[in-house]
Amino acid sequence: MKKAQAIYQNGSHRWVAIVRDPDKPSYLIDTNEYVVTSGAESLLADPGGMEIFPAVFSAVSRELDPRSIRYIFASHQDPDIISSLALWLEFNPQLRCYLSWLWASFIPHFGGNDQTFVAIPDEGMKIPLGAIELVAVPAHYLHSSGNFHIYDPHARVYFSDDVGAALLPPEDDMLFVNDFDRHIRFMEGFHRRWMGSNEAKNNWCERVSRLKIDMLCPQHGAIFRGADVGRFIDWFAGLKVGLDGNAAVGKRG
Amino acid sequence: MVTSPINTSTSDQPAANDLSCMIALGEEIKSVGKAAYQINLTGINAILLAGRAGESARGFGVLSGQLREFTRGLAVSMDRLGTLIDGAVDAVSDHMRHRRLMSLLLRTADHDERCADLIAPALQSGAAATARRLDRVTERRDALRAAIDEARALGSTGSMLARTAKIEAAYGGGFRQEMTGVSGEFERTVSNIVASLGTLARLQREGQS
Repeated sequence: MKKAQAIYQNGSHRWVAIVRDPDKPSYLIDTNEYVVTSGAESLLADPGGMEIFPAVFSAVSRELDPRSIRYIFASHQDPDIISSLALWLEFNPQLRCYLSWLWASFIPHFGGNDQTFVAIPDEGMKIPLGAIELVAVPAHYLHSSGNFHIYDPHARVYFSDDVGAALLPPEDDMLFVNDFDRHIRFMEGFHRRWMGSNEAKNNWCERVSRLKIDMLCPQHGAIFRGADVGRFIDWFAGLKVGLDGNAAVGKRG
Repeated sequence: MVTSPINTSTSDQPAANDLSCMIALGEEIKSVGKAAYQINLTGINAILLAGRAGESARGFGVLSGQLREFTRGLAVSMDRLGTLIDGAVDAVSDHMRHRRLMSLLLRTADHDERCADLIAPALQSGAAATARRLDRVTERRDALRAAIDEARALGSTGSMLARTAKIEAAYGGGFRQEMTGVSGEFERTVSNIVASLGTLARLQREGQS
């Protein structure tokens, strides 16, 4: 059963992380889902794959009324991000799904119709939610060619999708990173292989380092908070990714 | 816990069987198409042969023309079957996908009472959608069965024409031997078509069971 844990709360403004499922089959990658609530409206960021819908729905419903979820945000097109879309739409056909314009005709293969999707332009956009405004921050080529993160300037929470992701062993299932240096081993290979462009990475690091962020929340692994946010951005800025970090892989085949 | 008429199994064996059956039907239709093409070619030769044989082979020539006409009817019939199979595959696939969604919603509802209450409306409308989808599958299957029956009736006409052509070949005078050979080819090919049409009917029955 997945755990739902509030990671930020200020009145009705709340972030809930849906994490870790010990019952999940080992052949499925573990994912984090996040629900942002303001007033009577919630947005579910990266709702996850079809197979884990029962666990996500159940965990969400223990923390909040899932009928408050008006919006889904898909950071990119991968199945572990958004293949549960059809099930969420069975639950609430009125849901709107924010996603990169690039994937606006691909993701409907998972479900939805012409009323479902709100295409985000490459430069990003503001997403109104209850009394607050979230920001869809461009993170193209990190790793997908049409990729967005969410920044909540009020809560100073940054949903970073696959950036900051770590593949944690079962015994290291902590919610927050508590030993940054040790954590590197769980994320280094992932970032080298999955992040396609050093230029895009450096651009992202430069932009995001200017934001006020208390928590950086990836879609896999543990959440960075406090000084670890800056540590992560610095570490990522110095990492060679894409072909530069994987010359051997690029020459295969 | 929620009880529902929807099968909670994640595998959908009957629907998968249905899809396999559709693939087999498609393959059999191709065989019929090839055989019909063969008769058409043989028919051209038979008409030329009858022309050379003269007045005594007029009946054979007419029958050869009718056999070619038969293959044109058969081609139309096979095209229609192909379209119906596409429609049936569409309906069965849609049903399979919907059942998969329903099965996951049921698993969600089984978590606890709260989930069951929240998911209940989706399950209710889902059950109605399942019924509609099943009706659509049944409708497509019925149309397919009727079209196969029609094709089999056409096959019987082909058999009758091939048998009569064999009789007419006996009046071929100096061309009797060649005409008997051609009529034998007609008979064998039509017999293969009739067998394929029988296979189509059997596969369709098995797919439904």
